[in-house]
Amino acid sequence: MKSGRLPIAGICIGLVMGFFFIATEGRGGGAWAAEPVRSEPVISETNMHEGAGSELIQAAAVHEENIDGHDGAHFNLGETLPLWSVIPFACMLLSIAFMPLLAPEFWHHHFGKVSAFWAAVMAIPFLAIYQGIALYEILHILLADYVPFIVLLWSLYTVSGGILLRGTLRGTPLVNTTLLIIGAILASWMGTTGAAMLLIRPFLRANDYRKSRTFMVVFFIFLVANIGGSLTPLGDPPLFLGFLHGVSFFWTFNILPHMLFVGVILLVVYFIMDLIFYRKEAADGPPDDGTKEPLGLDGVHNFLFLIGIVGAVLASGIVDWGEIHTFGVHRAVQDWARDAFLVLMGILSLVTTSFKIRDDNDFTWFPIVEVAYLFVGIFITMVPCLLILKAGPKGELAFLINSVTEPVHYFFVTGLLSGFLDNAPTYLTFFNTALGSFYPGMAEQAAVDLLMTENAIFLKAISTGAVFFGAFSYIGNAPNFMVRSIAEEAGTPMPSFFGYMFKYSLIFLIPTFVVMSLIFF
Amino acid sequence: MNNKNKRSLVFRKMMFVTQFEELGFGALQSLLVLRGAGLEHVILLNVIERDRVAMHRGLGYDKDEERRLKEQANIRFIDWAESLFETGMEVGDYIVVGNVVSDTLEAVVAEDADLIVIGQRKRKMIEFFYSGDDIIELLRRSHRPVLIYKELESNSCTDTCLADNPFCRTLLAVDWSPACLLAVEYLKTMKTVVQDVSVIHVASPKELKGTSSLDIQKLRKEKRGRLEEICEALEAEGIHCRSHLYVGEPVTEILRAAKEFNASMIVMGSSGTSVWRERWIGSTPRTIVEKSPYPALIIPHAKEDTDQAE
Repeated sequence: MKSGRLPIAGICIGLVMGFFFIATEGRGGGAWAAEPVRSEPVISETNMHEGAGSELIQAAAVHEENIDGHDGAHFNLGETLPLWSVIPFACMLLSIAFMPLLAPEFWHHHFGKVSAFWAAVMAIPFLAIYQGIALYEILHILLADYVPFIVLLWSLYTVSGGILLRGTLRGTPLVNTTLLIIGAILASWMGTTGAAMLLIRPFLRANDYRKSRTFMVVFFIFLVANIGGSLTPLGDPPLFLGFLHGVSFFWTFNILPHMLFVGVILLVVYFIMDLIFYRKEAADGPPDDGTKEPLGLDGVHNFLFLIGIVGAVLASGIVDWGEIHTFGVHRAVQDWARDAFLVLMGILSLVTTSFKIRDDNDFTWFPIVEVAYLFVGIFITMVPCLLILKAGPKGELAFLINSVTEPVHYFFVTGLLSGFLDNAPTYLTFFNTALGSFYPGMAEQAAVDLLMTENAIFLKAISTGAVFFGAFSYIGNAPNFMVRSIAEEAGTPMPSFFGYMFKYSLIFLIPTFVVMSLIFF
Repeated sequence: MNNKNKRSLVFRKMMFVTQFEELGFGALQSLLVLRGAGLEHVILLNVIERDRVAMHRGLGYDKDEERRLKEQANIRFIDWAESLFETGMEVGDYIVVGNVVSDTLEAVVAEDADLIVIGQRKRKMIEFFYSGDDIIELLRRSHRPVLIYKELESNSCTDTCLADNPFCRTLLAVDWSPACLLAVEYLKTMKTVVQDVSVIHVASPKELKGTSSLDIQKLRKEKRGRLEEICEALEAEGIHCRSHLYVGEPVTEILRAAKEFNASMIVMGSSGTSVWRERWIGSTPRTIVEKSPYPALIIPHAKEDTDQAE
């Protein structure tokens, strides 16, 4: 199939799926079309009298009534959606996981079309059957989740791409360990991607005289590109999704003991390994070509923009400026203001930062564009999954909710899936599993408040699982493959996809996680 | 003007930046006409954009692809170089992975090239939105003249002058900025190549609004006088020159004039505006480069090269 026809093929498959939904109506078995008949009069009536815009607002009202209602008398979309409505979501995640490995060239050029394909497969029948409610759900996830998510990532990526660490460092075990500690601390405040991009090149330059460098980059991925980002919603995308869904900004500091435990173990192991290799290689010593450049930060004013980003995200979780309707979707004014401010921070960084700094950082828009394309597909396809999970035991994913019952289950299931699939949607999936399990049918913010307090251990398990296991493979978290690419370009040999997991993740990460889970969960 | 600056006004060394699809050997051959104006050395530059080989989700950095693309470019450059050697030219080449703009500027400084030649690639709207246009950025950041090469459509090349020499019938658009006056100096050094120059100035309708007919005549005379001065300077070098005064929107009028005079190339000074003003508001050179079917030679303000890459 020609790749350019993928979206069309998606539309066709979507139409076929839609036809199937209609055809299965009335046969029971939880087909999509079976239940919504009850809600149709409301939508049809508004359609006739008030037009499409009002229809959406009406649908939103119906939706919110459904979500907020507890008497079970109202139609709840999540309770009626069939299990196979999550297939496009699963296929989307599996595409991201495996297509870059199985068809790397195709993926590199057509990931946007693949994303559009799965989004169309889910959205077309969903819209055809549920009309206003479906449109509301899609718009809601795009406006309330996708937009702020991508705006945050873009602003952090843009601002941190304007900071350049120059200078000559000598990669001794102490210096390397210090760099890893600094990177892990920075990761929570400038994002794992930002911290990794800031430090990876100086880290590689400092060690380019060393023979064994591969393990250094792997530990860099573990600590700076993943585990270090677990303390704030800015650190790692899953935590920001949690923040968008009501987890308070500082709640993630509850993960500090877990982060310190894992971080210290990995740092000690790293230091010992580095010391052993350093002593073996010491005879060679670093080449002294007389070109020592003093350490210095260029584009340091970008830290002001980073502070602005932190402040804006923090403020949006504190102030309450009311709500506004956008295409029928309620969104808090402070959330829009935050997004606008983050865009402003990014633009100011672009305007005020010398091109030379970005050039020297090898700054390219490709990674953020890829994330933007993929996540629009991820968010659209995950709508049914989230709705079913929110329905709790009444939804078709009740088996998942019933089988994942202990914190340790949440930690490992969230983690292992995060390791292979993207950790952000995995986090959201199990976050909703927990909400559906403990507080089915309850309004989201009320449920999240309770999850943060009376069942905090579950949220800790989900959060640490999603963030820590992001380091498990190259595809667990976006910075992993970026660091790998930069290291390989700089001449550091990196293990293959499976080599990374078998030689490093299974040896160093998993035992540490097992011990951590025994202690904390 | 000191000797150093005078030397830099001759296009002795040309940086030919190609991605192959948009700028081929035919273009290079047609530019060899500059040998008559002192061209001695051609540097071939192929920048493999980093996105093509780096940041692959499944592969990391694709060294095999880098090797393949470099080899492919090298084979072409060897072929081109052999032809150039036969004509007595010196040839060098760079094949690098990186960013077109910054690597071009770095190579220009390293080689002390006098002229950058680059072709225009079509970019998707979304691509343009997030990363802008390489040529516009190059124009803004380069302190050396940039020739944006475009193949003239076949019906424009009915006479041999246009077909063989892209400089033969030049339209020089002036606003009397320092960069424009520098463009005149460059044209003087190309007297053996440039046969015919049409110098035009586009007056803004605002300048004439509310002015009496007497004042308009006075303004016209003054501008014509200044255009004539440029023409006289060019005529003194043996270049046939005519001056024309237009009124209206600059880009529209420049393109209209280029069509009327069957121009082979548009020459003008750079705008000197900031990159953000350039991106959001635009400038006449930028719009000419984007919209014009004609090759355009943009002469920047004379500056030192030390901050070229800034």
